Amino acid sequence: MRARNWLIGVLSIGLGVSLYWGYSQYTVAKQLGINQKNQYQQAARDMVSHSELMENFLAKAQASGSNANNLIHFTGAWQEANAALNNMSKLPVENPGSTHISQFLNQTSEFSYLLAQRIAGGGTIKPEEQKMLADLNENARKTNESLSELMQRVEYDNLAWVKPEPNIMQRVTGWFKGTAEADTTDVKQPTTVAQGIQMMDSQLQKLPPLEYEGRFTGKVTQEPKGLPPNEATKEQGQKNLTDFFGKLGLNYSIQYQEDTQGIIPTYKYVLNGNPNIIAETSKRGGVPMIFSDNREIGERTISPEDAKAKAANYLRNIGYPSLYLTSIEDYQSYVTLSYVVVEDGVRIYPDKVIVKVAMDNGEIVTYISRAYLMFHQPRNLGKPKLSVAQARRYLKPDFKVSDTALVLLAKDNYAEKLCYEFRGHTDSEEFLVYINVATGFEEEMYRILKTPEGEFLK
Amino acid sequence: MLKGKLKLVAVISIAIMLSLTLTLTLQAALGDRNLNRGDTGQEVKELQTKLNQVGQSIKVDGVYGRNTENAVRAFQRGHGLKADGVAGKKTIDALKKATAGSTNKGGKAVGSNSKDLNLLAHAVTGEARGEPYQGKVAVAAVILNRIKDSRFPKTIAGIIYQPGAFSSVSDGQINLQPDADAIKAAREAMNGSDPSHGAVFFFAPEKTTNRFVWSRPQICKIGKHIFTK
Repeated sequence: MRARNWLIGVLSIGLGVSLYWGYSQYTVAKQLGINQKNQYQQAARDMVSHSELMENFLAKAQASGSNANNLIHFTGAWQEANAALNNMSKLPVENPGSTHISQFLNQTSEFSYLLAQRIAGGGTIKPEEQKMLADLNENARKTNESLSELMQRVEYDNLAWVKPEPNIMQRVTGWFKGTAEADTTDVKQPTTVAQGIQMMDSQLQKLPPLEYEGRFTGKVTQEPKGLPPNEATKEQGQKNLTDFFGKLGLNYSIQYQEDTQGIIPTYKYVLNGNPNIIAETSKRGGVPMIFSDNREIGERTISPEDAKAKAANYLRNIGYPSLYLTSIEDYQSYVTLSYVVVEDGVRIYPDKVIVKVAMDNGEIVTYISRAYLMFHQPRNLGKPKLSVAQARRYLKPDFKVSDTALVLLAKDNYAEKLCYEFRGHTDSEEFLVYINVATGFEEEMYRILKTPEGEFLK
Repeated sequence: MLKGKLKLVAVISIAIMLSLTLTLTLQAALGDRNLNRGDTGQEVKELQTKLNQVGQSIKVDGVYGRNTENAVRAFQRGHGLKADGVAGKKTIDALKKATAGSTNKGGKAVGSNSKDLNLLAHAVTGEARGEPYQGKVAVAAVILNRIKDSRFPKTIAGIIYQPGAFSSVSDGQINLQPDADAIKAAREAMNGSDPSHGAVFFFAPEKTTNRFVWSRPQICKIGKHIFTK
C-alpha cells in the first residue's frame, strides 16, 4: 500500500514536470513564431510602401516639365525601387530566382538612375524613353494592385506566410495515410503568401515585356566574340591543349571528362589522371580557356617580381602579343595577376586574362581567358576628339592627376567607351576617373583602397 | 634605522619590478616574440583568434598546446611558409596580413571586403562540405553570379539569407566555422574563377524533387551538384 502511494507520487511529479516542460516548449515556439511573423509583416509592408512610393515618383516624372524636380523624381524612383527590392528579398518565396517582380524592380531602378544621371548632366529624355517610362509606370501600378490584394488576404483571411508544419493530429493521420504530399503549385487560390507571390509573378510575366536593353535586361544572350565560328570536336580540343602545353614546354596526359553548357560551352579534360588538375577548351574553335592545378603550394621562395616575369613569359609563349598588367594580388602562397590587351596604345579593359602563380617554384597554376574569349574582337577605336588637356578640364580642379592613359572601358551593360583614365588623388583618397574622349562625360569613377593583398577598386 | 631603510628600498624595488613585469606581460603584443609550444597568455589568445579567422577551429584558451601548434602548421602550409609549428615573426606577419582590412590613401581604415569573403566561405561550408575543391569554388561562384542577375538581391548577405534560397541557412549549417579550404575557394571565386560557367542555381539530384530547379537548363555536374542557368 505504502509502495503504491509512493509510486503514484513519483508518477504524478513526473507528469507535472513533463506538462510544465511541454508548456514552456510550446510558449517558446509560439514566441519564435510571432517574431518570425512580425519580421515577414514588416518586410511585406515596407515592400508595398516603397513600391507605391516608386510608382508615385514615376507618375510625377512623366508629367513634370521641371528638370530640377524630375531629378528628384528619378532619384526617388531609383531609391524606392531598391528599397522595395531589399525588402522583397526578406520575404519567403517558393522558388527564389523565379521572380519577375524583382526583375521589374531592378529595371525600374536602373532606368531611373540612368535618366537621373542624364538630366543632372543637362541631357533630355528621348520620346522612346517617355514611352518606356509610361510602360514602367503601368507595370508598377499593376504590381502594386496585386500586392495590396495579397496583403488584404494576409490581414483578413489569415493567410499563412509559409506552409505550416503539420500539427500532432495531422502527423498521426499522415502516418496512416502515407506521406503523399499534394503538389499545390497549380491551385487557383494561394494557401500561403509564398505561393501568392509566385502566382503574382506569373501574372506579371504576362505583361508586355519592356523594350529596354540594359544591365538587367532579362535576355542576356551575349555571344562570345573572340572565338572562331566553327564547332570543334573534343579530339580537336584535346589536340589544341597538347599544342598549348607544348608551347610552354609542358607535357600532360589529357583525358576528356565532360561537356559544360555555360555562356561559353566547353569540353572539360582531366590532366595526368589527377582530378585536381583540369583544363577546358571552348567548343567553338576548341580554344584553351581554363587551366587549373589545385596542388598544395610549398614554402615561398620567389618574389612578386619573379612571379610577374614568369607570368609575362607564360603569356608571351602561348601567343599574346601585348598585354598590360592591371593588378597583382599577393596571397602569400600564390599571387593572382590580371592582364588586359593593349592595342595601338589603348588598354582594352574588357579583354582580360587572369593568371595565378605558385610562389614555391613560380609555376603557373591557373590560367583563365574567359573574358578575353568573350569580348576580344577587331575594333575600330577611332581618334579621341578631346586632347588629354581638354579632358582634364572635366575633372575637379583640385584633383591631382598622377597618371593618364587611354583605355577602352567596359560598362555594366556590355557597352564599351573610349576614355581617358586619370589616376589621381585628393588629400587622403585616391581614385581612377574615366572621361569619355568624345563627350567629356565622366563615365565611371573608382576609389582605390589598399588591402594587404594589393589595390582594390570600389 | 639603516636596516629599516634597506628593507624599504628592497620592498619598493621588488614592487617596481613586479609592476614592470606585469605591464610588460599585459602590453606584450602579438609579434613581439616567437610563440612556441607551451607558451601561454594574451598573445597566444590573440594568435588563436586570428588562426580561427583564417579557417582553423581551435579553442581560444591562451595555451599554446598541440591543437594550436597543428593550426599554426596548417596555416603555414597554406601561406608559403615553413611548416614548423612555431609562430615566429614571419608567420605572425603573414597571419596579420591575412586578417587585415582595407585602408584609403591616407591610411585610414575603410570597411573591409573580408566580411564578404567570410560570409561566402560560410556559405561554401554549409552548402559544399565534402565536395571536391572545384565544386566549392563553383558554389561560391553561383552566389557571386546572382549579384549580376536581376532576379536576385544585390548583396552577398541578401542572396545568402533570402528565405528558402539555401538549405544550409534554413538548417543553421551556415553558422559552422569555415575551414581553410572553404576560404580559399571563396577567394578564388572572388578572383574571377567560375567552374559553374555562369550558373545561378545548383542542386543535389538525389535529394531534390523541386520541379523548378529540375526544369532549369543544366550547365555541368561537379561532385554531387548539378549547376544550372
